[in-house]
This record gives sequence, structure tokens and C-alpha cells, in this order.
Amino acid sequence: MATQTEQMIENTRMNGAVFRWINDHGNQGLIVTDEQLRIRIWNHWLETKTHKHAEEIIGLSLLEVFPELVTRQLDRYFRQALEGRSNVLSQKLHKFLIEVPASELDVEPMRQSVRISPLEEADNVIGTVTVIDDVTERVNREAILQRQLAQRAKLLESESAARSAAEAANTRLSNLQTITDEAFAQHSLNDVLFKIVQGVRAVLNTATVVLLMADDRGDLIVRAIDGIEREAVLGIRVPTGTGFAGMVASERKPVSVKGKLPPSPLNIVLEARGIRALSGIPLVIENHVLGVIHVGMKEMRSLSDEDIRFLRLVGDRASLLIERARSYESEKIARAYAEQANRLKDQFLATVSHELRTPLNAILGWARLLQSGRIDQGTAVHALEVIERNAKAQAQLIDDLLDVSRIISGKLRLNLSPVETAPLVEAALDAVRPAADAKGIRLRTNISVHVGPIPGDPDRIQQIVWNLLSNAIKFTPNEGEVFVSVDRDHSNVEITVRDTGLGIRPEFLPFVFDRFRQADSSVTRTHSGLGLGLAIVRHLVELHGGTVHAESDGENQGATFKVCFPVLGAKLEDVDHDDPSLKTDMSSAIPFDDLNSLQGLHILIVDDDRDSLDLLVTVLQQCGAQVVTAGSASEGLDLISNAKPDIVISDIEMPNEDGYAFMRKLRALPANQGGQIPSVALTAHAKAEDRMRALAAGFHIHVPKPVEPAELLVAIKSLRERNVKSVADG
Amino acid sequence: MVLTERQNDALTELINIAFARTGAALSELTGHRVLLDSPSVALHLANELDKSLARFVPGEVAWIHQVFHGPVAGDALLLLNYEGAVHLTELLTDESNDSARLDESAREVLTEVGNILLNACLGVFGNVLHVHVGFSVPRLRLDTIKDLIAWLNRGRGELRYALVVFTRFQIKDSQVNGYLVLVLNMDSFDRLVKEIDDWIEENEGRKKISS
Repeated sequence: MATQTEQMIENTRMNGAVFRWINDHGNQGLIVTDEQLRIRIWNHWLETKTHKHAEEIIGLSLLEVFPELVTRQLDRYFRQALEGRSNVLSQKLHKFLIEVPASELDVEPMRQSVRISPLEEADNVIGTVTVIDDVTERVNREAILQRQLAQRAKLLESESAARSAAEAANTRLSNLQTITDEAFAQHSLNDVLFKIVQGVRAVLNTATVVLLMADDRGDLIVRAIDGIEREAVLGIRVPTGTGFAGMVASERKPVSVKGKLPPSPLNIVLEARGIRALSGIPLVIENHVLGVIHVGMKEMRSLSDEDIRFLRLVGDRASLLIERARSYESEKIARAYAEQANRLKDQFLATVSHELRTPLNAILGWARLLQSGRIDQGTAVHALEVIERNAKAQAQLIDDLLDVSRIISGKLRLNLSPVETAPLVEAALDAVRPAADAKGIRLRTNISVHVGPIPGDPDRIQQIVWNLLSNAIKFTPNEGEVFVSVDRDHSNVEITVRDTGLGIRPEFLPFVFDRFRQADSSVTRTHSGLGLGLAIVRHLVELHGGTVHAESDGENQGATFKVCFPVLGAKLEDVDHDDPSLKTDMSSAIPFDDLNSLQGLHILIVDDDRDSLDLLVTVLQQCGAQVVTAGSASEGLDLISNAKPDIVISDIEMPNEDGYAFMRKLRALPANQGGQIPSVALTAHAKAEDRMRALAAGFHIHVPKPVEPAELLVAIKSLRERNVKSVADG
Repeated sequence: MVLTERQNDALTELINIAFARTGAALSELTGHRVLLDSPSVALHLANELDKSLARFVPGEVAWIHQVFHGPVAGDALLLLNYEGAVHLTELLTDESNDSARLDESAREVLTEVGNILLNACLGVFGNVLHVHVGFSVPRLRLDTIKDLIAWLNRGRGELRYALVVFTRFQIKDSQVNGYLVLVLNMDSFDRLVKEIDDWIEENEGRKKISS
């Protein structure tokens, strides 16, 4: 018994010690109440935190000491505990059970995690037990951790955002690449443009995509579209600075509009298709706006920055592609032009060789017959006529070719002087009359004689008229008519050549004066000639400050060519028309059959070419001159001192010493040794500068090869007169 | 063991009463309108529980456990999948949880919510069925379903039943699904069924009188 009692006392003592230890050392709050919720235990931890001492409050009602437990409706947890239920109170939902500062330094309340349980003894509830944990530090720690985790999550989020942005950029890049590649595969500009708009629409998924290109005036023209039928808008012109496209082009940066679209012919169509918003970018290359791409949406929205960026990238590449396609196309056009020009030249060369051979055939053929000596006198005369005519025709061809070559190289020069056109026209008529007669073509004229002088090169004026007349006769059928008139029309002299010939097809009319052009360039063409005549005519007329134009009512309706030259001013009209130095026109030419015109004249001819020499000797001797010849410059100089000729004729192109050198040496001689002898230069160099050079070297007159005997005689005659005059003056 | 239709209806009704109380308690606590509803109640053998719950969540679940004792004794659990648990604490505390992690404070909140729900249910059972039920302090654990079931059935040779109640919390236009599970041994289950039968009879008697 004593042992049992001792045991109980001992147990009680032990329990008391354990309790005291818990009471003093616990780092939790411990409240024990009885069934009436009167405080039975209030531990040391609570004393410290609440500054309420156990001896003050033990025995008092918990809800009276802490009335806020009732106002905060926490009393029910104690009542539930009395019914046998345990409850936990989380700090997040309740913050605390009993409000105390977190620490002496911290005014924030201590966060408490609380368990309220029944105090049971043998299945009976005899009170409540409440345990309070201070979780302030943990809560703070958790808050920091939460923040860190949130930051990390944010970082991850922005990382993944960055990743998806990179992926989006990648996708954009590959979309861009696809568009560029597809467009790049196209060569024609149109195909490039359509590939671009289709690609853009597929990627941006907009209702419409329109590409406009600027023309020379800066107007924008719809060149490619996707999302609308092409017929509806293709080719629509948006004038400079108007409409949405104009806005984009003038702003030179991406532009978006929503709602009412800026008025333009294109936007009327777009609005009718339900487009309510547009975003566009300019196509710029080297600071020059090539065009505009814009996309249309049926929703009231703008493109995202991302999409605009994409569109700009497309625009940059599109500009380059368009430039490339454009240069490809212009290169193609240039190539086509070059090929066409080449073709024309080839045709021309074929024609030239044909035209040069034709007279040669006749010349060679008749020459052989003459050499054979088996032809009668009558036939021989005919043969010589044929040879002469053909040689002249060939000389004419070569002249034409030379003229064209001079025209092309810009070296054709005129020797201008005041000339009357009427005599030149008459001379040209005389030249073509045989040809007209041969075809039974009637030449009708209406030539006003005193229409006034024009500043002209008489040879060239005559060439112009001769070309037009030859042309007219060539294209007029047998028994037709060619009409020529010279008239004064205000301040112009107008020369008209009208025929009743083939006429000119309207489509060929614009090209009638082009070089190397003939309306019929086929090998079966029936009309010979190089097709240079009219080109030369135009050029010569224009060099004279005149105009030429052709009219025709069409094929077989005949053609009219009108040449206008400005009449010379009054001052020049006073020029003495009889000045022999100006008399180079054919009207003063002496006929070749004037056999004694050079009677008594001593002439020295210097030429290395035997045939030329023979020809000249024959011609001059027939006219009564006494002729000596020299085969070189030095031989010529030797002869001068002995022969004392009245006139010296010299070729220019000779081996060792040329004609210029010869003349300079001659002019270096004293007058009594022949230093002043009048001289004629003969040369195939027929250009104006050659004439100047010859005159500068000391020649008096320059006669181009091939030498026309009549022309040479005129020259010699004028030199003799000059000599006589100077002697008389002297 | 199969519940009759009437028993099932009665059980469902009891649970609805408990859920209404829980909803009211949580609404009061959080200041938000919280609704709980339970579209279905099912009975399983405790050792086969994994079959019905495995499809609920493949990964970790948060579960609040309370032992109850008295004439009807057993384990009461509220199961939430991890994301659901995190979401529920966010909804109840008005704090967004960017870390998507259940820290200790969040677990305390869940413990309290489970505590309220389980108390309500067991309380209703006790009151309505006139049995006194005692409760242990609730604890929260994080486990896979498999480990949870293994733990529930640890060292128990006896056959136990599990009443599985699908539970849906509705707060602020959001909802979080979970399961309330009451595991009872044969004796407790017999007793529960008997009490339910009594309650049905009593109720019908009252209805007859009142009608």
C-alpha cells in the first residue's frame, strides 16, 4: 500500500517535473482549459509573448480574457473541441489566435499556426488543449522563397517567351525565304510580283494583298493582287499622293488605317469587298520608292508589330527582286533591239553585196565581149554605154555608202554658199531623165525660178533632189508620172516630188527615212538599191536646217515627198552670183564635147596609178591640152622646172611622198620656178576636211575621185581664168 | 456488400448536408462564396480502392487524413491532385502561387480545409445517426495514390469498405475536383448502414406524421 502510495506520489512528482519542464522550456504556446473554457494552464512562452502572467489569468475564462476570440468567431473551435473534434487553424486564413508582436523590434503580429483539440479522459472530454506555433520566421522565409520562385518562373516564362519569339522569328525567316525563293525562280516581273503577293497572303492570312508599282510620274499602278479577282483591280491607277498607297509612298514608312479607307479608285473596290483596315509598307531601293505593298483585313485591326516587321523584310527583298526582274527585262529589250539592228545590218550587207555585184556583172561581161574583138561597131557603142552606166551606178552606190558612213560617224560636212534651188532641181531632172524615159515615165515640172537663194551645199542639194527623183522613178510603174515643183512658201523654199507609184504602207511610213530599211527586204524584192537614199536625204536636209516628210494614201496610191529649206536672209541675197569662185554648180559646167576648151594649155599630171593617168591624159588631150605625166612626187618636181606647166594636177595618195608633201615642196619654190602654178588635187578622200587639208597644202581646187571629166574640165577652166586674171592683175 | 438505392440516396443526402455546412464554413472563412457539390457516391473494397482512384491522378496527390473513433471508426480522407491542391489554396487565400509549389503555409491551409470538410461530414454523421465520433488532429501528406492506398491498408488483415465521394469545390468561377473517402471496417460499416436504415425509417415516419 505504502509502495502504491509512494508510487502515486512519485508519478505525480514526475508528471509535475515534466509539466514544469514543458512549461518553462517549450517554444510553443500551450493553453489548457477546463469544460467551462477556464484557463488551467498558461505556459511560460505565452507569459513572455503576451506579458500576461499565469497567476493573473489562471482560473479566468479564456473568452473573457480574449474577447476578440468571440468577435473573430474563433470560439467555435474551442466548443468543437469540447464536442471531441480537433481543429487546425492555418496562419494564412487566421494569421494568429492571440495577437502579439512578432518580436520586440517588430510591430507586425506574430504569425501563428494553431491546433485546438479536446482534452479527453476515458472517452470523456474534460477540457481543451491549444498549441500555438510561432511561424513568423517561416512565413517570411516562404515569402522570400515564393518571390524567388516567382522570379525564376518569370525568368523561365521570359526564357520560353524568348524561345517562342526566336521560333517565331525562325518561322518568319523560313516563310520569307519561301516567298523570296519562289519569287526568285521567276524571270518575268509580273510572275515575281504575283509570287510575292501570294506568299505574303499565305503567311499573314489577310483578306487581300495588293502590290502597286510607281510609274515615271510617281502614280501607283496595281500590278499584282491576291484575295480579289485580278480583273477587278489590276491596272488601277492611284494618282501620286492620293489614297492609302499614296500615303504609304509619301510617308516612306509602314502605315495602318482602320474604318473609313482614304478615298481612291482602288479603295472603292476594297471597301466593296468588306475591307475595313489596311496596313502597308513602301518598297524602297536606293532612296527611291518603287512601289507599295498593302494588306487588307475585314476586321478593324492593325497588323501586329511582328507582322509589320515581317512585311518590311518581305518588302526589302521584294524591292531587290523587282529591280532584278526589271533589269532582266530591260536587258531583254535591249538585246532584242540589238538583235533587230544586227538583222537589219545583215540584210543591208546582203543587199550591198548584191547591188555592187549587179553592175559589175554587166561591166565585166561587156568588157570581155569588147576584148574578144568579135562584136560590130554598133554593139560596141552599146557595150560602152552599158559599162559607163553601170560604173556610174556603182560609183553612186559607193558615194551613198560613204555618205552614210559619214552620217553615222558625224563627219558629213557641207560647203555652204547661197544657192538657187531651181537650177539644181533642173540639173537633177536632167540626170534622171534617161531613166524616166526608159520606163516611159512622164516628168512634169512646175519650177519657180526666183524663189530666193538658200544657204546650201549645191552638190548636196542636187543629191537630195536626185535621190528623191530616182526613188520616185524606181517605184513608179511604166507609163506613170513623176511631178516636181519648186515653190516659195513664206520663208521656205519647198521642193515637192510626187509620183503615181507604189505608195507607202501606213505602217511603214514612220520608218521610211530610216537607214537600212526597205519596206520589202525579202530576197525576191523587185526594186534594186541599198535603201540608203531616203536616209541620206533626210540627213542632208536636216544638215541644211530643213525638213523632209513623206505622205502616202497607202499602197498603189503614190507618194509625195516634201523638202523645205529656209530662205537665206536679205544680206546673203546680195552676194554676187557671178563670182566664179562660187560657181561650182553644174549649170556652169561645160559639156564634155567642148573639144577645144583647153587648147594650148600645158598640164602636168602627177599620179602613181597608170590607169588613172591614162584616162586623164586621154580626156585632157581630147580637149586640146598638152599633157606631161609624172609617176611620183619627185619626178613631178623635176619636170616642173623643165616643162613649166600652166596647171598641175596631182593625186594625193602616192607611195613615198604624197600629194600634200609634193605641193608643199612646189609652193616652196620661187614663183619664176613654178612656185605659184595653179593646181588641182585629185583624191578619193572626198570629205570636207580633206578638201581643207588639200587647200592648206597649197592646192587651189580639190576634185574628188572618181573623176568626172566634165567636172575636171570645169575646175581646170576656172583655174585658167584665175591665172589669166591674176596675170592681168599682176 | 451493396447499398440499396434508398441507402445510397440517404447517404448522398447526408453528405450533401455536410457539404453545405462545409461550403458555408469556407465562405465565412475566406469571404468568397464557396460551394461544394457531390454528384456521386460509390462503395469500394478498401484494397481495391486504387482501381477507382488511379484514373484520378497519375502523379502525386495531396491528402488530408483524420482518424475518427467511437461506435463508427475509421479513416477519413480528402484527396486532391497536386495542381488542384495548389489552385484551391490560391482560390481560398487570394494569393497567386507562381511557384506552383505547396509550401508549409499552403499545406496548413489545405489541412484546415480538409479538417473543416471531414469534421462536417463526420459531425453530420454523428449528429444525425446519434453516435458520438471523436477525431484526431488532421494531417496532410503528399504521396502517390498507390502509396496512399498501401498506407491505408498497412498491416490490416480485416476487410474494409471505402465510401468514395466525388467532391467539387466551386470558388470564383473556378472549380477544383477531389475525392472524399471514408474507410470503415465491417463492424463500423454495418453499424453505419444500420444507423442509416434507422434514419430513413425515422425520416419516413416523420414524413408520414407530417403528411
